[in-house]
Amino acid sequence: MKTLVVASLQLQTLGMNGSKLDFYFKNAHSKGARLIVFGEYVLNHFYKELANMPISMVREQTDKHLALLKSLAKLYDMTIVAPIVLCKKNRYVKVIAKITSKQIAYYEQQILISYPHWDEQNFFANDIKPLKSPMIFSVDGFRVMIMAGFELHFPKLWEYVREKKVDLVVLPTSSTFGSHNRWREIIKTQAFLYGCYVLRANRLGEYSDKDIKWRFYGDSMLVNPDGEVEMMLEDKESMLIEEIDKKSIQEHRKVWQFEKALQLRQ
Amino acid sequence: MKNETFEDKIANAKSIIEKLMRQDIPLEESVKLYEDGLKTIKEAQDMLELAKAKITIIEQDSIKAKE
Repeated sequence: MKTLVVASLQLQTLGMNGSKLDFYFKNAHSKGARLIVFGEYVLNHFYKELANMPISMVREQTDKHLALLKSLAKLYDMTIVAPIVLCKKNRYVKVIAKITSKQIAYYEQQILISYPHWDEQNFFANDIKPLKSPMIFSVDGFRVMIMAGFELHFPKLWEYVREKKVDLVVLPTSSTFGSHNRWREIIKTQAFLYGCYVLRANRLGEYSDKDIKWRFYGDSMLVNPDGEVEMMLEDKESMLIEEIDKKSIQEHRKVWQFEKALQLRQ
Repeated sequence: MKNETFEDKIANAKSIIEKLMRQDIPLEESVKLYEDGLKTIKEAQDMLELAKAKITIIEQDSIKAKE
């Protein structure tokens, strides 16, 4: 039965220096990893910090990291999923890059956070338009879908998991404050309801906003189609490497028959 | 104060880049270093352009002298 080794890299913002990445990639490669996912705001600074940086510096940061990741993808023959900030016409666009040795493709985040204390929608220039399928691609016969952290809350996007028979959802996040349990429970529930693996990479680090400290707490995890946490990192810099298998996905579909129940009623 | 040479400016830019590469550097400081770095590189580029222009003039003068 088919298996795939996947990795989730839990880091704080790298700033201008990505030299430590080679250590992690070498390690992941030695354990057979074929896919590696980064948290949000690891390659670039947190969006509130971007507001205080010259756009040319952000562009340089982005270009430098993309070039480095492309070379690592080639060197270690891996697919990399990494959120990144693109600069277009003096505005920023929040995207997730899928990087292989051959090309870089971008998934533009469709739904951004829009609250008074955390307003990415207003800050970024991402288009607001009807939802479409997130980026889906294959790695060694596994169908992988990219979902930006906040998009986890929207069932319409999860429907594509069922429709396109996705095996693994990769979920880069920047969760903070005391939301640990809520995120864990939502991820476990969605993995079970849609019969797929979910691989989350949550960033680390702190951001001070007046009197409030935003602490990004890690908790990167792999959840299986039965909604069980297979592996979870704590709140320190580290990397999760785990194997996923087709058998668990197929057994879940066979046993629970959620899809069949829906098909009968179409 | 002694004027900085082209070599001084390159050494200064290198030192700024090294500092920028530190991961523990506060954002405010890294932005300041980045701006200082851009300014230093621009000044070094200007010096280089000026030197190139002087060489071109000397070469032209030398051709004219031969003629």
